[in-house]
Amino acid sequence: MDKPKIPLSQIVYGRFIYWLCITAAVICTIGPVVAIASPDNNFMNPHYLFSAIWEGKNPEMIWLQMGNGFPGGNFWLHNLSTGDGLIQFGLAIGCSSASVALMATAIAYFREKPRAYKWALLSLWIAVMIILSALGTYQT
Amino acid sequence: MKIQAKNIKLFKPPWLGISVMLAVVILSYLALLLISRGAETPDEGMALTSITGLLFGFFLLSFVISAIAVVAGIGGGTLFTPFMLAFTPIDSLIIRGTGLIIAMFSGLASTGPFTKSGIGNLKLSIYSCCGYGIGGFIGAQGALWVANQTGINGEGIIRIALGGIVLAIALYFLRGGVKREWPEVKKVDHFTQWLGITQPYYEKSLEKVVDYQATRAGWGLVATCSIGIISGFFGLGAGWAIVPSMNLIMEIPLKVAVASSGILIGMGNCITVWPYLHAGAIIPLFVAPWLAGLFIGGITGAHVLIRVRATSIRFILIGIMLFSSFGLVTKGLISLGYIPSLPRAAYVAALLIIMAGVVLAIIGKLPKFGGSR
Repeated sequence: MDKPKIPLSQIVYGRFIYWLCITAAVICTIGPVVAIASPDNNFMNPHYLFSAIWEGKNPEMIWLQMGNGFPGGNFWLHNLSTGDGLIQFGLAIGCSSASVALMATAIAYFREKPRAYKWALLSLWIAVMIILSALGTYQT
Repeated sequence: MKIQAKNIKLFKPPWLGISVMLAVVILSYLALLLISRGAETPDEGMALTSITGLLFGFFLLSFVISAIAVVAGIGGGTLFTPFMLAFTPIDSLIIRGTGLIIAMFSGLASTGPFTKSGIGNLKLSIYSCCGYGIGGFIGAQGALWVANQTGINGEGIIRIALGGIVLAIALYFLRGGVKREWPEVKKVDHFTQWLGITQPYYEKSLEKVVDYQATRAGWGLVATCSIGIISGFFGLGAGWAIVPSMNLIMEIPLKVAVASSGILIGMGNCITVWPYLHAGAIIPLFVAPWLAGLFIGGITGAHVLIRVRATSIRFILIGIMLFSSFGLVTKGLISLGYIPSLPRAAYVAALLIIMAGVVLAIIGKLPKFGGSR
């Protein structure tokens, strides 16, 4: 029996997620090496970080004690050479992967025959939700 | 020729991803070992060798969590968050944020194989994500608001509430879960028909193409929105709730529901996790070692551990959940001042009783529970 053809949109989404996921995981594996190689070149010195976490301190207190407070979720933009900046960059790739994949999927939906406009629009809607969330919109 | 074929297989997904990740992990931990040996430790600071050991421990733990979670068909966050909240003094916001990253990554890691095989239905995941994403975002914002408002009492209440949820999930799994493998749709409503959400796929075990139907898509959306709120607030993956809601409300075949919920959790948590990132609740160096283990464990679990006897894994999982629930409730009651601190022997006794129950269940000496598993 002939297997049904997997829709192009679905293949596109899977491929994008797969490679972005690997990229994020690779960066987040290399990040700790950079952090440990030069402990002072971090927002949070690894020598003191884990004991602060283990003492049950809240995130605000930890960021404050380790430096000058939390520099914002997108602090990696200007601090890629630091260990935690690099890890945050990897996390940002992983946490935005679905938005990039959904935009590519929307294009695939527009190109499919018959054209799946409503699915393309829903894909774009979710991609926009992720982008708004990533930009810190509506943050309490 | 055979060697050549094998070599080619290694350079194709998913083995290519695993090979790359393994190489990076081995090189990175070797580098960490070399850097940390003989490095100076400042006053009152932790030695770099201990930090390296801790990071490697997290990596191994994430591998095990991810592999068990995939075999058991739940999100990694459902194991990580309750266990860490119950048995470590780490702040609940940090654990819940990390738990969401773990849930998201286990979902993303399984997305590739599920979309490629056709068992996962991307349209179903996108549609459900409209509800799950909004619910999850509200839940995450609620978690941050509660953490800012309630302080130490809030921590206790959150632990007790999560203990109750985890206990309910464990009992649900103990009953085998109410699931229907191939639901028969009698009537498709107009809205679901208009959506055109279903797509046929080739079912290997039946050696035939399955062209299934769906119904009650509107109610499905309401359900996923509510599940999203719980997931975002407590930092859990929500496969345990999404699968039954797709299966029982929308009448989606069980296998399709499992695969699509994996895709949905990866997609939806990309919205949910950002409020935690912007609040500083995700500590980069604490989260980093979990990702590689999750990726390798997730894919290995999906491709290799599938041969493991699923019933045994289910009972071990139930045991972990019951013990986590006990730890969460007692820790919550202690922090609220309702009971004094328990001696270590009490935890050991609870663990031994649960372990005995798990062993008896695995060897078939416990009475059978209902359900249609």
